[in-house]
Amino acid sequence: MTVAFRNVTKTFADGTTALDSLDLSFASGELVVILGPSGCGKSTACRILAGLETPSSGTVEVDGKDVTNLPPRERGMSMVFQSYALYPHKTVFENIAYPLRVRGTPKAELVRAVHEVAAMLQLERLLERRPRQLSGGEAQRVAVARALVWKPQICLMDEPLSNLDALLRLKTRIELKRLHAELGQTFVFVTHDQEEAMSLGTRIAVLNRGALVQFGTPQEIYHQPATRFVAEFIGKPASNTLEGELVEGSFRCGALVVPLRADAATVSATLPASGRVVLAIRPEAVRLHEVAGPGTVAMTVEVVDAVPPDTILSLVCAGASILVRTQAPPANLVVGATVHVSFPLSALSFFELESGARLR
Amino acid sequence: MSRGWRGAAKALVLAIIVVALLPYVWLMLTSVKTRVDALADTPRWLFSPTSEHYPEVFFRKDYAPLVWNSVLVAVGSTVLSLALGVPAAYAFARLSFRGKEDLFFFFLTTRMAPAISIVVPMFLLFNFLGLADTRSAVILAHSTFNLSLVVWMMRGFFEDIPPEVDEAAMLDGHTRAGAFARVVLPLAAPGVAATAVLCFILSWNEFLYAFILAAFESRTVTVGIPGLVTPHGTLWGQVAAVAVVATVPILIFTALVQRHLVRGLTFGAVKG
Amino acid sequence: MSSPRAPHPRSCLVGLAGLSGLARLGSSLAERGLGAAFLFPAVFLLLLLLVGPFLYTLYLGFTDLSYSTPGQDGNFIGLANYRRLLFEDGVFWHSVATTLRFVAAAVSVEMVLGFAIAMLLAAQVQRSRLIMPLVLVPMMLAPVAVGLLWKLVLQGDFGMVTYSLRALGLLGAETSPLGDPALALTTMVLVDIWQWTPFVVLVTLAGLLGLPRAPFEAAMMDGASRRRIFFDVTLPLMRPILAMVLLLRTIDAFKEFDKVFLMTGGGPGTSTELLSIYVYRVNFRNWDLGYGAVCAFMIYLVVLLLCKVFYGALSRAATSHGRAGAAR
Repeated sequence: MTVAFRNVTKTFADGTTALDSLDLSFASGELVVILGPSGCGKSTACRILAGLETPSSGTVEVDGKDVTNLPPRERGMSMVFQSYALYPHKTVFENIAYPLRVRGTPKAELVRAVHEVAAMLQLERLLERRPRQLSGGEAQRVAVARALVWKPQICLMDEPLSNLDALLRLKTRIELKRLHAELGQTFVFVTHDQEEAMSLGTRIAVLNRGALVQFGTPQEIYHQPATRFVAEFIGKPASNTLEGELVEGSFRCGALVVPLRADAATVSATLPASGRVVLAIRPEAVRLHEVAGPGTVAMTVEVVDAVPPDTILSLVCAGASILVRTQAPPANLVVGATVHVSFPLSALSFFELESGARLR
Repeated sequence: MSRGWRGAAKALVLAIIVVALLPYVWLMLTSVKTRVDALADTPRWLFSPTSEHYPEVFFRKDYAPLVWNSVLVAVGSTVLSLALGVPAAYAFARLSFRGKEDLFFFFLTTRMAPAISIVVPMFLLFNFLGLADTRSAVILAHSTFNLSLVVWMMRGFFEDIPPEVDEAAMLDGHTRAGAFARVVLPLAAPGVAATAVLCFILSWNEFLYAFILAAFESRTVTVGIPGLVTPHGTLWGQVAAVAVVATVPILIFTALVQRHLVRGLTFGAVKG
Repeated sequence: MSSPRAPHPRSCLVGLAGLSGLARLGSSLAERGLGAAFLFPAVFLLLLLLVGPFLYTLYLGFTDLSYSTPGQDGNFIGLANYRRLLFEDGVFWHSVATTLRFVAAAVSVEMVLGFAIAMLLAAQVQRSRLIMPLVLVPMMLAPVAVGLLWKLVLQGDFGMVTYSLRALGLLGAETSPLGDPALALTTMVLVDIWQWTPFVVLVTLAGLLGLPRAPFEAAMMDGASRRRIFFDVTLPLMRPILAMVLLLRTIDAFKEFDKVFLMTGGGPGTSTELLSIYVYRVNFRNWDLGYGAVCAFMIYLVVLLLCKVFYGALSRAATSHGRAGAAR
């Protein structure tokens, strides 16, 4: 089974464009994460797939069949809402059982299915409670149970973890991962939290301003960002991006000079010989040296932010500033000290200045 | 939603509007019809209008003072209810005291009290106080329901303002009363305005208290209406003219407070 | 090690607590004074205007006060008025029955019709904002004016509605909606429906628009049909508000006076003599104030009872609606 958005655009009545020609397709069994900052259209994409919104143009296909105008109940998908959307007047049991009830499932089978999914999500104790009597984490698990009880082909999750506190979010994330592995259904998971996306997704679709920017595995997204936006959005802290100039085989940004010649074949082949570009490098890829050497740049320590096991240094030199993450900071590190850094060529990404498109 | 369903829904809504408005429109038309047109065997939609009834009933028959009475009674009752009710509402919203909810329930019962049960002893009371057939009597009587309306509505409006506002004002050196008067009340001004308009409407429309307590010199427009309806030879043009004058201002006021109407009529339970 | 002269830390704390307690007591006394000052005038006025007369009504009920019968100037007659009400006054019980029929018929139709119209309007939110002011007209008119305009259009010989009904064959040429004892109460019910259905529309529409969208979307995802969503989600979520509207309408319909007074005055015969009309007649036509007080007291009692039930429904509606609002 495959799911495909074909050139989907959604413009709301107030004139805002939530999705701009979205093209995205994936196969069954995946856990696809739709990731993006708030307002990027990720929830709209999810709701269009569910059938809760109709696209302004374009089509949604499931197994090659156009489902754009099908009502939600004929799409065979379930959904976990950000607010959980439990029925406040029904017990937990009835909440979970509701999708089966509307499908006329025989009583015995219904009870069995509810108890099975309740056991899977540790909800057996809570079946007689009302939503009002549940904690946030419990309500969230009920919402998941309701979405899985009738074994839909696709389960959509619209920021299901964002109302939980940090610890519970981590626990639930692992739980969802286990469920996905056990059930083998297709999950579509919408989030603005890149850490969640990295942890959960078999593939991640990064959205920005209603358009798909990159669709790939977490590794690809992290190490080969397709645009400057992805580089600056992913990672904690995100990539350092420096706007500078290519001059005579090196990259210059103020006093910061990165020689690119050493590995001409791999680096400069796809780069223009000169002109302004953007360089990106992950904070943990920057190398620290005790003494100056070939290709190193001297920078001054401005802030030392130690959160064990990591230390994050913010370094400056004339015209440039970067963040460096390391687990082995140089000894006697103080604010104002000088450190020497070098940028391994294999860790560098370059983007066009104007479009932000990847050059290398 | 299919197109056919949409069309049917539109037609239905249109029908509802027609049913809701038609009798009233007919009343307005009657107020500008000659006697012959008004009493025609076949209802007449087309006729040459006349404006004779308005001056006739308001000046020659002296119904103008009734309008004035209505205005004075409605304004008086509104001012009195706000003056006493707004501070009480603030106390309900912000202070805690024993028996608070019971007292609040008492205000509800006064809002609901059937006029017919209260009006007899009230009639005797006002006779005793020498207030028979005065506007003051009607103003006081109308305050029974308007005062509780103010207390119920304004409590909700005050509770919409975060208590931190009062606390900040008190930290800035105001007393509790000062915080109420200088900071909270101005913030609640739109609520006060809406409540005032609702009070005015309820008082203006009220009939039974006004009818029993002031049937002669101080009678209001609503009390004047039945007097014009006689078993035989009712002058429908004139009655309609009075009814139009009695209702048009209220419809304008309603449009002003429509946003708060639900809240006022449901005792704050539905915010609308 | 603390020096021996320093006060014991715990006693110091206790002292502080005492001080702040005193301060709190002071401010709470000031607040109590303020609360009293804010509440007293309002409570005093209502005690004077409502509770006083209410107690006086109770007292009058034990007397024979009548302005129309010489010699009955307020002598104490014990429970005689109550005995008369319970066992001798068929007209009173007839008016009770008439009132119950009026309330049951009018309120039930208003609820169903009003909620249906609200559902219809809720589907077209944008337009409903323009439509509502028009739909509200009947309930905002002075009730006396409502009585008047219906009396006008229902005139036997030239009324616009009477004429139309006859033209459509719905009404016999000789029958008049207000003059026929068999029809008059039904006519009153229909006029009440015309006047008060907008109220049900107004409040239930506000309720519907205030419901959270999420449970409806969840039900759609769970595969429920429109019909099932109405019965499984809409109706249960609206229940507190519907209950509140029902009680409010019941209380108001029970007190109905103005338009019936103007349109029929209780007639023809006693066919539309509601309780309130009957009480009016006893007090202000027969001037039988002692007995009238007992009748009035009965109305008060019923309203007070309904009021108590309403208060419960009100807080349930408020919390459910508040929660719904917060969830959005």
